[in-house]
Amino acid sequence: MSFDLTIFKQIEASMEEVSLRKDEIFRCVRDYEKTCRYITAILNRVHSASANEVPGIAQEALEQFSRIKQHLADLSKIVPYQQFYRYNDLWSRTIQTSLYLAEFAVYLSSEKLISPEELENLCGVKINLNDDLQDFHITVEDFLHSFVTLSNELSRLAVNSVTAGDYNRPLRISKFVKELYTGFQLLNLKNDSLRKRFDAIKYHIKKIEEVVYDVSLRKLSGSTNVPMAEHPIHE
Amino acid sequence: METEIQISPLGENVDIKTLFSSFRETLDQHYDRKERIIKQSRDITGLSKKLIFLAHRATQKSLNSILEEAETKKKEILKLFQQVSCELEGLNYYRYHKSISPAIQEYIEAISFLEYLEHNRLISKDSVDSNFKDRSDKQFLQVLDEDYILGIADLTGELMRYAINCVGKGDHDCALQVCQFLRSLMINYDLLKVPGKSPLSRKLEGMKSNLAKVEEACYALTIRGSEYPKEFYQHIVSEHAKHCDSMEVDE
Repeated sequence: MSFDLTIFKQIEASMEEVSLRKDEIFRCVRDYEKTCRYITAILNRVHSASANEVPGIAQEALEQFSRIKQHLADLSKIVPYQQFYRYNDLWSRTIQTSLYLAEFAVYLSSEKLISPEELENLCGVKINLNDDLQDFHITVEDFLHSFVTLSNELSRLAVNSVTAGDYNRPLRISKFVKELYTGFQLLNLKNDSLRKRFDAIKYHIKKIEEVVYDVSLRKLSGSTNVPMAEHPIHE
Repeated sequence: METEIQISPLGENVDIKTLFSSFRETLDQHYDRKERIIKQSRDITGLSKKLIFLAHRATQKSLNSILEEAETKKKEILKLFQQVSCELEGLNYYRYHKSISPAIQEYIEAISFLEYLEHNRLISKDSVDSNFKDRSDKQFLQVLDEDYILGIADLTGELMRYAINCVGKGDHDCALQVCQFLRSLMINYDLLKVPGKSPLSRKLEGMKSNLAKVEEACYALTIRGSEYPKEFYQHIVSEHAKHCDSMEVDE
């Protein structure tokens, strides 16, 4: 008994095509990751910087986003129309990293949460906020994942800013991360990876709170002259 | 959907409540849709399994009536597929493919088994595709090559069961035919380049063991068949079966 071999030949060809496309995506993602590491290295300097150096570092990082834009444009060219979700696992972690880097840099320069529009401008890709995009986009999940990374990094900065002599920053970070956490509490999360990572935010908050406690206990906040110290010091 | 997020220059305030409320709306839509698809997928899988059981009940005499019954069941299943297909349009096909693909595979397993029983041949990808066409000949659901391949891989399990059943009934030719069919199928699968961790590589193991079971059964047939003429062996088996039946009745 023999049967039509053509179908198996076709299937083999289409499997080959998919695997070649994946290779191409891998190559693209590797370069993309390299840029992310470079920006991470720039931003890492804030942990040992004094308060007045911070905006400059943030600016330097933001200037690198033209490269991120290019990587994302390259990726979007590889993915066939409407097949975004066939491949997005391959780059979703990297996108999350770059989103977090943008959010961190924007936070450092303005102490505000990045708006979706700013993020879209920085990355040159739309966020699928209304679930209506058919082309290459940033998913809401990736956006949310990146906020968790941001809160983790800010808890680290709260500790290190004290060491660097900036006693007021932890208070401002605390207010910001708590607000972010209230945002997350508005979501109806399922028992997935986002849920697990969301649970980690409270540990970040706890860590920041301990720093705030230590600083307040010793009446250290307000003792350095920081321009953005707009929050009252609790006596 | 009213989700007003002001276009803000760098540094202007983002209202976290508004932003996250719009996230919630989008996420809820996604989770709900996924749940609907999974539910439908489960129902389809269940019905397809019933269809397979029905096919196993077929004997040479009852084949036609069973095929007729199967046709109604197929229509019922395809109606469910058509209902769910609107959730899988455009970008969403690949987004929820993991949730619907078990149902597609199970259905392919069922119809390919029926195809074998009726025509002794492998169902073609085209005729699988034509199942998923509506009255106006429009493809309402796309079937990926990999789902076809995986569905057919599962078919080997059904054919193994079918062949062993045939041996039980003393129908040697049928078992040998299945054995041949599985072998030529296996050759095609062996030619495919299978990535190490893919679902297909796991199924290949199962296929090999299915084929081995049928081959062993065929071996047993042949070696015993050499002791008696085939008809004689069949007679012994059927006599034995009758004897067992009557014993059960006695009890």
